[in-house]
Amino acid sequence: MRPSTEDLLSVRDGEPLDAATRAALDASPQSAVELERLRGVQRSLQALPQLEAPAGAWERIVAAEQRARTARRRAATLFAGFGAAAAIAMAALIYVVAGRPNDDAGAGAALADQGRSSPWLLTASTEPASYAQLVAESARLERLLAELPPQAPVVRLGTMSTIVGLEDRISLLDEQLSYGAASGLESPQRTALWSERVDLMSALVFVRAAQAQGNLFQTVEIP
Amino acid sequence: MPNLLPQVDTALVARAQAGDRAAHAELYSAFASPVFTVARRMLASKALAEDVLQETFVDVLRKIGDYRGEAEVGFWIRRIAVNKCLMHLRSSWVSRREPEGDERVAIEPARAAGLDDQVALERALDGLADVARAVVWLHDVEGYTHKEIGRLMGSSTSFSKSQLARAHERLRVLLNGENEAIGDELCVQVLKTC
Repeated sequence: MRPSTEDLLSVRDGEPLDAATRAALDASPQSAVELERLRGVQRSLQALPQLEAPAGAWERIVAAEQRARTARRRAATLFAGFGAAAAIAMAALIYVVAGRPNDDAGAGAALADQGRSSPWLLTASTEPASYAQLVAESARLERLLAELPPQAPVVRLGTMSTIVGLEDRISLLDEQLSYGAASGLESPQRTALWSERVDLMSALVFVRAAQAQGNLFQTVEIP
Repeated sequence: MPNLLPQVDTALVARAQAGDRAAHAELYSAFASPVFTVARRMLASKALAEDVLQETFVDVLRKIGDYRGEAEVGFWIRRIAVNKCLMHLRSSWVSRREPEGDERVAIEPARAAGLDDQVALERALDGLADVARAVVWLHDVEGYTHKEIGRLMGSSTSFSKSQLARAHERLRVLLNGENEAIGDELCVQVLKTC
């Protein structure tokens, strides 16, 4: 039996080879030719020239960074102003939904039950999720996020800073996961990072969904 | 040998971290071309590669203060760029996007078109499916391992290996102008550089 392309690529890349594949390779002159062809393609790919970045790109980057910095600063200032009002409003909302704790001993449990039934709160289980489950859940949340309507030009500033903050933290986690991939991060640490990513994605989906429903505080148009 | 990234001294990185605009520009000058190249090769679109270039360096400027030197700054920047590329590949917009007439030219058999080997190879690379193209570039040129690629793509080592094998089989067809029905036949000589 002739070695497969995957086998030949393993040989090309210097990976260990089992005896049967080695014997098959030795017995097939065609495979040796194909192996040399695969090496040649790789050399040719590596020899492709570097491409020049388009003219004016740096100026556009500086301008974009400046705009982003200004937007973050403005959002942070406004968010600080909205923070107290938002906290009061949230407390009032909980009070209305759950009832006064002194009047109803089951209110806390009711609220917790409500949380468990929410499609956005995914960490209620006491069983630790596996790495594969977390990756799958993260992908599911990405899909949910993609299905939400795009953010309108009219942005609710009370949530904008939260969204930016969550996206920043997710981006940072993605970088940590990439670093981890490069440096052979231990499995428990990797699982912890994915768990944190799922939590942040859940929060982001929740905030974006609430924003889409238009039930969060003040609306201000961003110029 | 995998693509090498330019080396910059730690003093330049320190100046950039301190907010020195000239140092930011120097970092851009050093790494703009590698970033643009990896984005263009992975995404097969000049317009998307420009987006990635901009997004990458906006992130670099924002986060250079957080860079702790765990890896060379070039690897750190390239990692940001690769993540941006993968985000573009994951987005449904890209998967629905039609090829752009001026940059993703219909793949013709290289020999029939009479193109030189380099152009033929670039066209064949552009003709691969998005994920296959990303895998072949990351592995064969940038030097990522299958394990790293599997993790970056939220998948397994064997996924990366099988994607690479399929990509090379497809490249053989595109470069040699083979009929896919006879794709099992071995190509003896495709590129003059083989």
